[in-house]
Amino acid sequence: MSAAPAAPPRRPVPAAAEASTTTPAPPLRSPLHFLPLHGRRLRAAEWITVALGIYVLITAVTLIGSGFKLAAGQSAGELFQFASNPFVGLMIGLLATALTQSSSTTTSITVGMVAGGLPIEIAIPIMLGANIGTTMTSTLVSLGMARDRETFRRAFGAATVHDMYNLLSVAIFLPLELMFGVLRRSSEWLTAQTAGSDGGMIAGVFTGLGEGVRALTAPGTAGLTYLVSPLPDVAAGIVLVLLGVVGILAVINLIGRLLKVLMVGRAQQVLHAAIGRGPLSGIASGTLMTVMVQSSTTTTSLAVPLAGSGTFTLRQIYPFTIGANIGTTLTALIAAFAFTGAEAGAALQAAFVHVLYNVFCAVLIFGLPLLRPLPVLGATWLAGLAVKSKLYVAAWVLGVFIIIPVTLIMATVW
Amino acid sequence: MSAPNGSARQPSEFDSLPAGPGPGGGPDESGPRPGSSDARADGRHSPAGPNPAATAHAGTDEASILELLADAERTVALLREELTERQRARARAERTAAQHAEVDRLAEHLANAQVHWGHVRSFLEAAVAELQHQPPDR
Repeated sequence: MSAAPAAPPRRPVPAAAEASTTTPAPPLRSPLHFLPLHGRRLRAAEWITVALGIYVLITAVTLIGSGFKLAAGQSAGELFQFASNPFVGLMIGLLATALTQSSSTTTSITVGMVAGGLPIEIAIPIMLGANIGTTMTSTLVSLGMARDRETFRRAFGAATVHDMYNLLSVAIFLPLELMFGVLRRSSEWLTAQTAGSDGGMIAGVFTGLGEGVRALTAPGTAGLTYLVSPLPDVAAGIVLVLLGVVGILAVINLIGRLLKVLMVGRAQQVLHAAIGRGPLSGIASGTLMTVMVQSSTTTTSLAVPLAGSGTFTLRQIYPFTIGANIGTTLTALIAAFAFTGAEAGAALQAAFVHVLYNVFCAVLIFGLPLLRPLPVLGATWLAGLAVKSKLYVAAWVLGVFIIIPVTLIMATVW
Repeated sequence: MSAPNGSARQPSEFDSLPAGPGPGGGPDESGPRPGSSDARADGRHSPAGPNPAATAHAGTDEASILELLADAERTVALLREELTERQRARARAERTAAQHAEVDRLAEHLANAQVHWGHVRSFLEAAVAELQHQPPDR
């Protein structure tokens, strides 16, 4: 009887390496890898594509604004009457972002619609909902680490700390907004300083930038508007809005993928510099990282393997995700430059709502020792449940991101 | 660190201390060492009973022992504190090094920072199986 060959002894694998093997990582590849270009030429092509992508993004936002105005005329508010209930607006933002996996898409579309006549009171809850919806992606990313209990506990905790933070933010700021109009008033003031006729030098710079961008994007918008002009106003407006939405969806994804490749070295420098420097550095690095890749989803999803490996603690990941919330507001600001005149003021106000909301949340929740630990405690509790039963995870993901929003919207519409 | 059994005892600063009662409070079996101050100061060997001067001297010796003990305890506490601090610093340095190493793999993590729908489906299937009280196949 021949003895079976003895299996070689398994080398002990460090926790970090173990975690990384749970999900095979595809290589980070440029979306332009199919081009016969390499090195500097490929980089140049990638940067040109990013610039074109931003051009398309701004044009698409303009199309949404024009289309919405054309379709709704003076009754944009009536058209969105069903969303006048702030909770429905919140759920629309949440659902739209969860489905597109991009808060930038939702906020850019909202900016365009505000420029087209959507009342800011309706737009604000939609933007707040977008913040919650964007957290679904990192939660789904963490499910890929479910093979190992401890890895999953850490990864799911890192994903849901963003959920908890955003839910707490809405729980605080939605009532404040409904009672006092905190975001509406502060964004109105900031818009007056930066886009109003009496805004001084800053307003001059903003207006100049806006007009420059508008001059560049106007031909594209005018061409597409001309193409749909034979259609009745409402149909033409709807076509323009749809074109704008498709354009935004396409380019935001493309820009994000390109910037990941282009900015990975810089992002590494930022993260290396932030290590061991405390929570404020964490917020700053999360903000910079998100600005560089133009996607909070990428930043928060990145936090999942970093925490899952056990190398970064949940408390270290938490400020990083707060920074992601702040960094992602840049996209809506870029989108706001698509407009001039009164439209520009409205669009800029919508973009400022997003900026101010995320800054206020960071200052209030992270600034108050009473509130600061709550998201971490909530995420730790939920992660504890998640490793006990997968049903808790399924209930959380489906309930928070799908079932509750759909039910609320349906109940209001019907 | 204690010396291994059987090894030659190294002289220490405590060798100059007076020998006290042995373990259990009884008289020290070895008695005072010849030539030591204890042999001169120990009242037990005085034929005329306890010598007050010797008793006073013994009291002073005890006080110095207590002082030495307190010193030793302070030193031990300081050493423990130093050791803990060094262990913490080493753990921090190791953790920081591990974090830098993890950031060095950023490209891999960024590539991986996306939803793998296959994993999501497997997870939900496992959840449904759990709901039906059937253990998942895998």
